[in-house]
Amino acid sequence: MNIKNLPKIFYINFFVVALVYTIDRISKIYIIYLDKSNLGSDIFASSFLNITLIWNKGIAFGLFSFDKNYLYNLLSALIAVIILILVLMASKSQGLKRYSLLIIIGGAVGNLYDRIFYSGVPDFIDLHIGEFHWFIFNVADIFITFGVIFMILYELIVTSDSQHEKN
Amino acid sequence: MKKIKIIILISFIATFLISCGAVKEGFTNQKKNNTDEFLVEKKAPLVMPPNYNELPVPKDKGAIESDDSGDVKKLITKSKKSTSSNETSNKSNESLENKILGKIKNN
Repeated sequence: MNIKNLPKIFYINFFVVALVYTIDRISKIYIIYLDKSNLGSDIFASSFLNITLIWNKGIAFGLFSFDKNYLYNLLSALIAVIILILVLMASKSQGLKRYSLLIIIGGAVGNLYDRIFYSGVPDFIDLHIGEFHWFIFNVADIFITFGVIFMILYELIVTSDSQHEKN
Repeated sequence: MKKIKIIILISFIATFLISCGAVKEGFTNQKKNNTDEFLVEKKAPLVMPPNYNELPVPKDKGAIESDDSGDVKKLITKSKKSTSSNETSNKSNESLENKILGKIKNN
């Protein structure tokens, strides 16, 4: 397969994934640099947003944070498989669904990179209202969440419209 | 019903891809990173070593150089030389005195 013969849409897809991945990577590198230069995880604190660096070895909400290496690797392999499935899905889908999948892939690849090379994902955005704290997340999580919201909206709105049209 | 299943499936898959940690984890890590002031050992005050008095007393450089009292022969010869030189100097002084006095008397 020649690279020059690839369709234009491939480059657009690749650009979207690369853009999400790059934004996430830059934010993580900058926060890790600040953490090292400040000699601590508390970088910024305000009444609604704290920047506190933590390393998450598990999945969402700190679940499955295993100490054993083989379980951690198994989880990473599972995530890699999910990403591959999403790539296949994105190649077959169109419109909003495709772009929401691409955003999810970009964020997921960013987190997978950290899981492989740093043995943990750096989370640093801590939104809170008074004493109520939400989970600490990163830029990749924001992209994945928005991608999932768009996917759900697509399923709820667009698919139901097409079903009505068929009937 | 099918839609709900799809939404649940999407959300389930997303939990594997998202990696957000609990705030509690952040606070516990923070404590681990910081140094505990109670774990810092205080430095003991300076104390003289127990066998300090057994050490040899250092000597002055000058004292070491002039210290040749062990050589008795040298000492004797030196003292003899010094006394003879003193005597000659006295004699010359006396003769000079006499000469001056003689010259004064003559004038």
